[in-house]
Amino acid sequence: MIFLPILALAGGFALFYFSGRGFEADEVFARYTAIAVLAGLDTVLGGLRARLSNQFDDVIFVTGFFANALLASGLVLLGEKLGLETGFGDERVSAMMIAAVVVFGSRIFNNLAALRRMLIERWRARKNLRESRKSTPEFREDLRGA
Amino acid sequence: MNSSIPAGTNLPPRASSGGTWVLSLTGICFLFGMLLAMQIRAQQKVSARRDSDRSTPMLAQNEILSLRKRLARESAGRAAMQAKLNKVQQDLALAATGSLSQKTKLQAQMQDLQMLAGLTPVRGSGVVVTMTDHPKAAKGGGSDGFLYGIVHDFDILQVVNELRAAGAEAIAVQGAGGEPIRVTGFSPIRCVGPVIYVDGEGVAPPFRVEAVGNADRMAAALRMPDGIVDKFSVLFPIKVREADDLKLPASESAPKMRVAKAN
Repeated sequence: MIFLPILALAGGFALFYFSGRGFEADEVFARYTAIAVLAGLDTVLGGLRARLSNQFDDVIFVTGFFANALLASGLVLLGEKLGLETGFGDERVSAMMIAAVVVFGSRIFNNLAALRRMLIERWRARKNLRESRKSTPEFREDLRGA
Repeated sequence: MNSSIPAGTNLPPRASSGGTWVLSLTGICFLFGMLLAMQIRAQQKVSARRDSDRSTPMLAQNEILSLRKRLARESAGRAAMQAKLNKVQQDLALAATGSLSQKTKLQAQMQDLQMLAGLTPVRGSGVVVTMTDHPKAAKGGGSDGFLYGIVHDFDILQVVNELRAAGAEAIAVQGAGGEPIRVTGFSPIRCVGPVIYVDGEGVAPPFRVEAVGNADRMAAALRMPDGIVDKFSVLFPIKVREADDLKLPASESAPKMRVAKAN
């Protein structure tokens, strides 16, 4: 079941990467979609984490995906409109972009760490269960009764 | 799915029911994949365009054009500068040769003037007049105080005068045992007591008057009938001889112009 989202990810990627022309390459536009991609990655990882900790909610997940992406892009856009920039000329860097990258980056790292921990715990628990089943049939019986 | 997981026992109940999470996750993952692909494509295009901007042949062409223009401009400026330099050099050379020729001309003129003034030694052909006191000349003087038979200062002066009239170009007077004294336009010939002074220097007989110039003419002038030689030879011995190579010294006394000014 978990392969379905991965397949969908690969399929969507392949569909647009190999067939589609994407959107017309625009440096300014690409900057906002980059932030949107970062937000989307954070949302997907957060969704997986929520799923593993039994806190998954469809509505929160789906709305979170779009809201995060749009909000992130919008905030960067707002920051640029407000002139929150450092540097001069072509070397200008949007300060809001840095903020978004830092926040989403740390969140992605946190999510990844939590996912890793959960997966390892799950795997250990399953292994322990299997071993206890093999070694103590009485306990197995007991479990079956529960 | 797996109901045997003991984890999350103290967590709140699952918000999502059944297998709908898979659907929503799949949809979002599909969208996310699309977004990722779009972004990567766009970024590829952007960076490709940036690279091509940097090394586009058009840009290089423009650069070459501007450099060519600059080269033409600079070389035009250089040509102008070179022309200016050439002109200045020509002027300089002209001035140098001009001043050189002027200098040589001035030097020649100065030499001429020095020769005229008797400030340079001269040599050339001419005549030599020798005069000496008559051996039997009176020593004590006549009744009128005039001593006949000896060479007087005005005798020498007369000879010099005659030589000048005959076109002498340089004249010198030599006394016995002395150096020849150049006679110029400023040289007095006179006597103080019994001594004749030529240009301030005392001379003694026999006197030797040397003159550079047209020898024939001067000799003829001196020897003309009833001339110097005729007149003097009755008083004291006088000889005129033509000489091929006379060497006359420079005048040693040039007057300083204290009053006269060039006008």
